Amino acid sequence: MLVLLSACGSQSSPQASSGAPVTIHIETQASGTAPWDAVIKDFEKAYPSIKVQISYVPIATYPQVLLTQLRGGHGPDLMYGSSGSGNPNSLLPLARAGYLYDLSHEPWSSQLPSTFDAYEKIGSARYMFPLDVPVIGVFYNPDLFRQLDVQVPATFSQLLSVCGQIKAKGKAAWVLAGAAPPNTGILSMELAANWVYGPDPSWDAERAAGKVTFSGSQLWKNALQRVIDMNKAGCFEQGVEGVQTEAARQLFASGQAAMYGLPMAAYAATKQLNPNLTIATMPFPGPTPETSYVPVAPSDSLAVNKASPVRSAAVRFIDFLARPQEARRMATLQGAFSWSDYKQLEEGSLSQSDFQRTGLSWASGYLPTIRAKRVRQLGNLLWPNGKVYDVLGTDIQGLLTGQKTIDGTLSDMDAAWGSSS
Amino acid sequence: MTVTTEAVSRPPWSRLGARTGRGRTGGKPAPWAWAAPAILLLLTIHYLAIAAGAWYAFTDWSGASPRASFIGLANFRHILQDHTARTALTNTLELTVCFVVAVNVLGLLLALGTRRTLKTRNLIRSLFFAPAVLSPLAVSYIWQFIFDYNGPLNFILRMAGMGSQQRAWLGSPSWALWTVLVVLVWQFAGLAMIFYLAGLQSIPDELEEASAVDGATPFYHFRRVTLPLLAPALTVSFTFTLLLGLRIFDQIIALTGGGPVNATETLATQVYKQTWVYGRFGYGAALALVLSLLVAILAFAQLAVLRLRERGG
Repeated sequence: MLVLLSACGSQSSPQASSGAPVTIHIETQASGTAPWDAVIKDFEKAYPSIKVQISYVPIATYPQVLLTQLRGGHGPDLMYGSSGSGNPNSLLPLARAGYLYDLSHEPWSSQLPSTFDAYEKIGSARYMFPLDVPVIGVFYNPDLFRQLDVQVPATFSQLLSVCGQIKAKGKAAWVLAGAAPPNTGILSMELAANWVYGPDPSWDAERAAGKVTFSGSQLWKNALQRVIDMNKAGCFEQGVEGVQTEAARQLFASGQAAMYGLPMAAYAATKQLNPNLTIATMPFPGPTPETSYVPVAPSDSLAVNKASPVRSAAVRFIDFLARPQEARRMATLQGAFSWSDYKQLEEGSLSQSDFQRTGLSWASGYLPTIRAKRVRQLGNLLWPNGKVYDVLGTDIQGLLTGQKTIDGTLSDMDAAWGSSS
Repeated sequence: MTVTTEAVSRPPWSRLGARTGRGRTGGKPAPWAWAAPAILLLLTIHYLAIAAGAWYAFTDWSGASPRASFIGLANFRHILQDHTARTALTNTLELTVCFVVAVNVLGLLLALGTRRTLKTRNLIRSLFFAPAVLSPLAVSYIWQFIFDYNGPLNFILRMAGMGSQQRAWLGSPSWALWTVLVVLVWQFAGLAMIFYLAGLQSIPDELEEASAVDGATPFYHFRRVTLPLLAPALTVSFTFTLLLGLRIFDQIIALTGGGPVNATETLATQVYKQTWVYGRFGYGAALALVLSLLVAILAFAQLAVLRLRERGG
């Protein structure tokens, strides 16, 4: 049956050995065509003998479609996926299964920040190229803060106090899609960056080595306690436990809520709901301004099918994308930093004028934190399977409804960490 | 000579037709050779694929890995120990029983109500049936908006002075499953109505007139005349809605995603999550096998009981 299904996949043209035109096929999940349209147009102009065909698969079915095609031997030449191994569309499990081509000999590979290695490498082999580098932080509405005459919080205790003030004025301080595990998961990863990975950046490595557990970790208990604290302080919108992503985004875009924890890539979709909305950014308010961290990871990635008959043309496409100008073009349209801009930000070598040229000036609230190297991993991408993060996101909803305790949540995460068939 | 001409001029399928009509001709049944290609195709495409899928239930296959190791009944033992799987099984049964009862009672009432007398009955029937042909996802998103905390339902409650009854309907552990049930019943009651309308049309008017002449009350007439004659329609509708209820997936995924914390998780949603979200194909296949067996056992048991009733057993 898999073979029959996979027969529906595309067949790439044979590799041109004498300049004959070839076609490479990219498969990605359907989340906006603009970035791809732009870079494909540039690429085809630079390499007229290579045509690019792209397929967009609905997000919910993308992992199964891709896997079915790969197993049937008819996978795309280039495939989008999440870095690491903690998502359903993660690429590292595909690399382990032998489907991906080792890109570590490409010229850009050695130039990537070493902090990306854990997400993209197995041993010394790199299996993907980072399409963008989103920062996960807080979007806030500065106009609403001004209108309500409330100060933007810089610490967690200020945040709790601000929540009460905003609620008293009839608005929601923090919008959370409490019924959407990916969004509750984002909040928990922001809390983890501050209360787990801030004090112990190697916590995930220790967990992988079996030296620590979630349920035995006071750091994780501290992080999840913050969800309960925020709920008690009235930070979240009414009926938070039943709110889905679209309703939450609408609440923020319509000016009914002051803050929303999101990855940078959500900027365009939020602005689309209300083009007049002013969005500013800041790191999640940690214990102090000096101990406030942001999670950052090269999550959106592109990999080459090892069995592709036009592999060299597919690799050439990635080499083209890796050029700083093209990488910036793609990443900016995605609403995130490119690998090269992010590297310069980390090194402190990206000038203010260069930053303005990225088109991401709305994200300047993250710059002091990145320049101060208060950046932590997006831990869930490094976890061994997608279940751990899903359980965390689901159980956060349980913390809000009273179905779960902190200890119960952390035990569930330990069980999910070790789960296999 | 005549016989030979006739044999040549008649196509082979005409002979098949003659032979299959045992009652009319008293001939032999059709030779298996005629049906063999279709049976072979059915077995290969349908049942062989299912059997191949069932084999994975006894492995630890991750989906991505090229290898799958045989692990015997380990996946099934894990289902018994897995709290989420047990919750999913309980929810599946609760939701199905309530769905089958509610949708058939409502469907029957709608069929009786729109059976005759109303000039606009065809329009009303179409309106009641329309949700059944809508996309389950589209229906779910509309209801998601209605059940939103800031949505129309809570607004109506506030306006009616029942503000204390407002809640996050789809986020409440004690209400979410029943909220999903409301959506399911709303969508499929019209379908049951169609089954019962078809059944009602087969009941001769003379019977109704006769019972009216004999002085039967409408309730007595319904209980003693209509309901027994509706037995075939009951069988079809109950069986169909049972199968529908056991396999409900789209509405739950769209409305609650199985939450809050597994409160609306069913076997169908667990099969999907374990297989595609968690990459546990072996375990997902085991759950799918359990669901298939459950569907088969319950459907056949219900069919047997209803057939017995049809025969007046």
